[in-house]
Amino acid sequence: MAGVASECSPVPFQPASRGGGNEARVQDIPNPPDFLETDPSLPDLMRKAQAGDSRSYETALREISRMLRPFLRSRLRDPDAQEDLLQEILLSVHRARHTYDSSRPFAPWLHAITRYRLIDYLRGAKKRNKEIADDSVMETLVARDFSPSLENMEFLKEALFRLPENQRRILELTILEGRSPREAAAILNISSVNARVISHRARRSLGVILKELGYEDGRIDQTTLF
Amino acid sequence: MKTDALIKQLSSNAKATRLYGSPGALLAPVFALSVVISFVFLYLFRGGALLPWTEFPPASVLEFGAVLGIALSAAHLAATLAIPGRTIRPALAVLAVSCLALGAVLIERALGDSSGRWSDFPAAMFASVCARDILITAAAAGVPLFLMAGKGAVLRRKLAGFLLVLSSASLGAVLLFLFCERVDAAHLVFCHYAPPAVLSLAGIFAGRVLPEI
Repeated sequence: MAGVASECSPVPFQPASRGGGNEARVQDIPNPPDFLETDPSLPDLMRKAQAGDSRSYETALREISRMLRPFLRSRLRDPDAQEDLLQEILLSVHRARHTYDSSRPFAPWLHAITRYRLIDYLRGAKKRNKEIADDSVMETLVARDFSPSLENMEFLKEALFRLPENQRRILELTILEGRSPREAAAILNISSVNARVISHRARRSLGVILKELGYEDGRIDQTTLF
Repeated sequence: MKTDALIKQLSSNAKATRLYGSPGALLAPVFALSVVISFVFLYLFRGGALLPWTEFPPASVLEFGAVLGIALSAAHLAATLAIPGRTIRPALAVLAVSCLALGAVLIERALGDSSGRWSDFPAAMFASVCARDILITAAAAGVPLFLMAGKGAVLRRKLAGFLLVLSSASLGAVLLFLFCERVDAAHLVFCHYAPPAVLSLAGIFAGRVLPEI
């Protein structure tokens, strides 16, 4: 365990400030000794998982989720974002599991992956805040109380029709069919990173098109429809 | 997808994985392969014109050691970055000391160099055979290094790319000791050591080829 002490400087934990709408800052992410108290059985579970034991792997992933949830709750306010980030971390753990040495502590390995994913998310949050302004038109259009009248559906179809095919397809999957970005990526046979990029561009383009078509404050200007 | 469903999907597809191993054990054969590739390329480009070892001046031993230290430590750092959570401080210290040692040697050479060839820059670098050789051997020797890092789980891809190209290009500079007889500071700085520095900046973008975890 001396190896752990040399790897991690004992920085005292500083909880993120909870201002209006502010998420955690990158500087607030603490080092492993303050970050996680890992289950001592995890190295053994991961070793068995690396050997192909599904049950041990499932137990290990559940234990990792149990450990990470309080940490993510302290960093992100939105429960959906917490779950998204947790799933991203689990996927990264899955892709990187062959690099873990079971004779070494588990916390630094998991911490490095978690920190990387959290930093990635926080950096993307700024871009997403800008996306919200473009998304608001689209979200209103597909809200539950959206009246599926003939005019509105034709309006949406017209707007989608004006998008490039790959952008239209990804919005059809994620918004109209309610699939997750990962599922959409699998259906379209592209990477999830690529799906997110295309989805982001599609939403921005659709917001512009909807405004051009006269959608504003829930009213549709019929004269601009066709 | 719910987290529970994701966990079930990931664990149901669990197969035995081939472990990545420790950075040192991985690096040794890969670095040796890179050395061989670099040497073969340089030998072919230079028409087999190896310098005799008896003409290796004492002052160059430190320079040789410093450049080799840069090549080795950069590769070791990149191998360490392929394993999440590993400390990079020891290799980083070696890299820093090697860079300082090289800098000291070059300053000492420059102060004692009265050849007046500093005005040849930048033409010297772009027209130099040595710089060309470093560029080509960096590309060739970098392949096994990138493959080694790609099999791991690199979190900091830009940094890893920078280090991998720095290592492969510095390896070219190391092996040029066996082929290039020039010892004037201007030639060494612009044609042996500036190319690896410039190429390693391009390595930041080359790091994108490493798979994202």
